[in-house]
Amino acid sequence: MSVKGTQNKKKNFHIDESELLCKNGCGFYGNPAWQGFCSKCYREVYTPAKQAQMQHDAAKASEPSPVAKKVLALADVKASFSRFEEKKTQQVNKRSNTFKSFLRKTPNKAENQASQGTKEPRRASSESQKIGGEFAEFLRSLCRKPAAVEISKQVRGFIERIQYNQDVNILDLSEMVQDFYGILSDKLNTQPVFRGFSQEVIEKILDYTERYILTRLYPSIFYSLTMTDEERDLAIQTRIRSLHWVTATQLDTLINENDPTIRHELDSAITDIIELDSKRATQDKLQCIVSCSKHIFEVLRQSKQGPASADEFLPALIYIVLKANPPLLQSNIQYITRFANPTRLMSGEEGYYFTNLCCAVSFIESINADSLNLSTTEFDRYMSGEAVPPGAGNEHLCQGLRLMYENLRVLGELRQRQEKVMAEALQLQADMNQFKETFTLRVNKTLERTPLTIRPRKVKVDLDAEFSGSNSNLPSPLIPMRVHVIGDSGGSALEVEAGDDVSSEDKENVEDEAAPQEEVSHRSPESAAVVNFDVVSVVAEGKATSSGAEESSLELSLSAAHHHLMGGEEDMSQTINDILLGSDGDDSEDASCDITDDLDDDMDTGTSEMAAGVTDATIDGGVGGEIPPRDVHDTDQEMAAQHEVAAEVVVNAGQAEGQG
Amino acid sequence: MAAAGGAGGGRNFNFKVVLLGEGCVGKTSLVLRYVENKFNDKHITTLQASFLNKKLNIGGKRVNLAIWDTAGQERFHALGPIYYRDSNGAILVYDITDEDSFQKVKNWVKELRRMLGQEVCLCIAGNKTDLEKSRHVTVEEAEAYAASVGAKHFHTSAKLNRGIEELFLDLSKSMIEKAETTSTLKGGRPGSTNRKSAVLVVDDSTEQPPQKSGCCG
Repeated sequence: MSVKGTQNKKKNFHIDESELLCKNGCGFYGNPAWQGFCSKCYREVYTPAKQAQMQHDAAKASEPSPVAKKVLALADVKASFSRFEEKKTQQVNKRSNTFKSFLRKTPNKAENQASQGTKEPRRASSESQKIGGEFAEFLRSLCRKPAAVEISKQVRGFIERIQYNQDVNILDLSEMVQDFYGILSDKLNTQPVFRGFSQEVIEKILDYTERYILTRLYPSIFYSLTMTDEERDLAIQTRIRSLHWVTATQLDTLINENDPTIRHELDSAITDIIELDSKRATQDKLQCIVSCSKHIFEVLRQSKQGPASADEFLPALIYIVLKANPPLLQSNIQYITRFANPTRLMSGEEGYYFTNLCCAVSFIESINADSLNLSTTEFDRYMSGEAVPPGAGNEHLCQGLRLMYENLRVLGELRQRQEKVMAEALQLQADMNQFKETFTLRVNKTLERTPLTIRPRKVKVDLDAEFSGSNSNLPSPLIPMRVHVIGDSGGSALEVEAGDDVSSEDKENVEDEAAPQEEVSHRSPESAAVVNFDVVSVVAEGKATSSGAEESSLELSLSAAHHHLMGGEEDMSQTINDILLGSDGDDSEDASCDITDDLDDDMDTGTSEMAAGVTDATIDGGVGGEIPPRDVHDTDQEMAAQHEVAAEVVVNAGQAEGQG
Repeated sequence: MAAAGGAGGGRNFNFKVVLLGEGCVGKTSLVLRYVENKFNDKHITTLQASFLNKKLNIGGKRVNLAIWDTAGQERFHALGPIYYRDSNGAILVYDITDEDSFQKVKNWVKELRRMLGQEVCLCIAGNKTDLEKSRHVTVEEAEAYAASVGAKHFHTSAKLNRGIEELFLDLSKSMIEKAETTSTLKGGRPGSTNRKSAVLVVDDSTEQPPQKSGCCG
């Protein structure tokens, strides 16, 4: 702190007031000559420490040596020499101080002197002030003024007592503190002032008291460099340093250090245990240990997939302590055991983890070849640094290596995803091929089942022709119409027989649509309807040209002929022949034959075509015979199925893309 | 050493119970079965199974058990005293299919009696009775031994949840008994016993330097 102060000073001759304060946090100003302490604190801290150190050194030196006296004498000389040296450095510092004091701000100096002179209440360090404020706030929240006053009186009295007794042995101090906890607890439970406090409130009061006292007294009780604490701190530190090569596997822990998330948890655990030294109150220190342990459990949970037992926890904690090498570890452990409320240490989570930490430290102190399952020579070689165990050094991953591992992991993930995408793409391809095959197969099947017969274009059908198909259902008054038509058909046959030219001319007269079809009907007999058209058109002509007698006989005979046509074909030619013979005599001998032939042909194809026409019409009307509509339906289904498959394929492709 | 939780009511007990025994005898399963009634490798919700609390009410007396699991590996055997210091009860677990683990229990009993005297309540649990077929430690032998050292013997199975409730209940009862007799004998407040723990620590610290110098060299 003081060093920082002087650096600042060099820059701009400005120095923060807090930096001039005594390092001890007592509120007086410190002095570089006294290593940043005020004169009082310096004496308090260093004199007993030095004496204890010297005594300890002397005792230690005297222990094994046969030349104890000599050493003792030497120690005396050393002591006197150190005293001399101290004086000397003080003088030197004084000189430099006087020079520095010119540069120092005058008001500060004056204030310093004033405060020292008038013995103002000492100001506390920032931590003490903070906890003091919290404590006061808590006491106020109790809403019991006498109780609060009593507590604060007790606490203040105790702190003063300790501060004026600082040269006593640390064990006595510890006992005083523990006694105070006991006394205060008793008082809280028995005295009338505190009656009515619930157990939780009492616990809280004790908690705050402990926190406050320890934070206030921390510098004097923690840094009192008495006894063997410092030595042990150094010993464990060097011990841990020489064990740097110990790997997680040698301790049989399940920690997989290359996993970045686990690595992160490990780092957190290490940070927590190092933070231990920066806290003042035992509660906070214990909390650091608990948090460290929680991180370790998280690591183990991830490595093992299940809650960790002590069998796994302790090795992991040992490993963490080895990796962290926390500063002043022994001092902190001793501090907690001496000054923490014993109920906290005896039971409860904090106590358990603290005990485990003690175990870990104890194990590290006594670690040997057997405890790591190594041979003695191996162990010695590792300890002396001659050899490095396989896999060691992995844990000291630098940023670059960590990044590399992280990237490797990411790359691995990418590869997996890539493979997945590829597999899915291949699957999609196979699916597509299969779809194509099944598609063609089904189409072929469907084609086989329902061969495509290209029917000639349907021609507009005359109403009369339609009637002829279903005349049996018609009511009787409509039938005479047909009779008329039938008569005509006979005439037409005659006319056709008479001459092609006339008939073709007539066709044009009647209906445009029918006209072109008629020729076709003549050459390749097509439909009865067409024939009928023909007949109708010819009839009109025939009526006009033929004589009256002939006309009537023709009509009759033709009606008969048509009647036959309705009934059965066999008789028809005969009747026609009869009619023709009857009406025209020898002249029509040949013609009659021709006509009958023609008619026969016409009727054969015509009737069948008629039937087809009727069914077609029914299909159009949607009423439906059985076979054709089913075909239509089938093909519809087929199409729908194909649509569905196509849709599926599209969806699959979409999914694959999405997953990609 | 029971910390009676209030001078007025005085029927609040906080007990520390340590679980001792070789690795893989099922200490953790036992305590997990007791506290959470689970037996499985996959209790993801439980973060840790090494320190567990269980609150009991025995005859109107509220008892809080803090159950401390210990590392059972042989290499950590020397750390035992740190674990079982100040404990009120100890459960010594062995595997009935493993003769060695029973020998280990005998060692623990000797050590506990030497370090903690008669103040500690001991329970011996023969675990894994579901594997009765491959039993290697006979019932007679185990029970005779337990009786000879003043400990109670229980047959337990964490897998089948057998004998565990009884084990902890019986232990709690005997700890309450012991705590009541000692408190009436001593009549002192907890503060006087607290000091002892501090002194114990100091004993440790004076003990350790020779150890350390031994292995550093």
